[in-house]
Amino acid sequence: MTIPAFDYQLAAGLEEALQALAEGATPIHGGTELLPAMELGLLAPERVVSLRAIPELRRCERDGDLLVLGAGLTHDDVATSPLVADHAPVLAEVANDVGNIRVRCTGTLGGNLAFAEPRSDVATVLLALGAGVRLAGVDGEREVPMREFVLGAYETDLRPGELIVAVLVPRQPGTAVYRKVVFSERPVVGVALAETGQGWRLVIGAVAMTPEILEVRRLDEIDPRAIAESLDVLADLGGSEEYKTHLTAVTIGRCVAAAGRQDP
Amino acid sequence: MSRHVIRPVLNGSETEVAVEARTTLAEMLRTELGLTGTKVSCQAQICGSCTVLVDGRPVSSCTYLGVDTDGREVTTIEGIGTDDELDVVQQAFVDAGAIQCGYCTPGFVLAVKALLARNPDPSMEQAKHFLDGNICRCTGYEQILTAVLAAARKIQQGTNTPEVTA
Repeated sequence: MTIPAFDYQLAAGLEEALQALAEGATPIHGGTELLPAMELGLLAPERVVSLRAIPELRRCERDGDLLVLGAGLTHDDVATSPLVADHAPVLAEVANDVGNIRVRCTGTLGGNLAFAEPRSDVATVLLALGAGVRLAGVDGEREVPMREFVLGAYETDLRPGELIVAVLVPRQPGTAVYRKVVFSERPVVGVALAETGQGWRLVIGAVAMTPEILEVRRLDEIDPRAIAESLDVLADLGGSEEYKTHLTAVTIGRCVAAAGRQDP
Repeated sequence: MSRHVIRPVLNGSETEVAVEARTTLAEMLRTELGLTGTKVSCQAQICGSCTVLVDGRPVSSCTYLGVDTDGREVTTIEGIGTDDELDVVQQAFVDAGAIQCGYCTPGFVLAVKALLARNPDPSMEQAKHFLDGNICRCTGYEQILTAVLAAARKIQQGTNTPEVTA
């Protein structure tokens, strides 16, 4: 497998990167999603701009009630950040179990979300936490809630020339848990369950084209089997529709049990 | 298309190498620089055989651009130990019988170096978690994990033992 030839530019700052994107360049940071797609011939950009030298994409700081995570932080950065552990411990926990240590040390938050692989652990948990993304282009910035950002499998609200510059994470208001079934680098099913203040948000990722988001008042309203059977579960190498539906019900049940144990 | 002259610090030495943008780090090491200790297998970031360290962090060199190592420290298996004296991790692998065909070993050794640099006294669970992306189809992992914990103990003893003076 060989990567098709392309022109490479190392952007010295965000402005230079956004200008390159406006001219049609494809952004790269860790390359954990882009390079395999290029090796497989699924993508063949003529021009690639590297974001790895842009300091503001590596921010990690509080802004009022939000934690602003630069899109260039790696999963390992998120997993080992004391600030993340304090603000949204479930996110640190999930980041520490993405893929494998090499993927965690190279893959970035922004790359993960922009690629919108349906089996993203990070997207599932960010949806449960009610997070958003800050997008930038040459014409300015806008902020979009995660639930509006993810449009489908490998499909997002990113417009041509736009870049995710930060992920905005509200403080985890109480109990939040994530459970998954994983045989390889990506989960067969990943379920997040988080307290919202008014009740609970349940997000079921990986089994369908897009994550399923459900809001309930109380944990005992959650019927794992009925929810699993209501989803448009896709058969793939992770298992048949029947098998994955079963795993989904079991994993929802485990989340509810874990949340019940943590919730006083 | 674009070609770049880059200067990584390779195994402690400043190195200059010309690479095409599309050249992976594994290709750069093996083909341009003749460092064939780095082994390529799955080419999908799953198996870990091509693991090298960039600024001390483990990466899959099969899925990493060579050009992205410009100005950074790259450590390959050739930078671990010497011809005369194995590194403590390499010796622990030999002592524990953690090597059979050997194809995964360079990647494992580098991953273990990264683990022990971060966590000098890992528990069995922590070692398993850190190494769960390195695949060995010969040993069944028991000997490898034995070697990791033995290397950690040896390093701890080395630093904790007071020097004996006459």
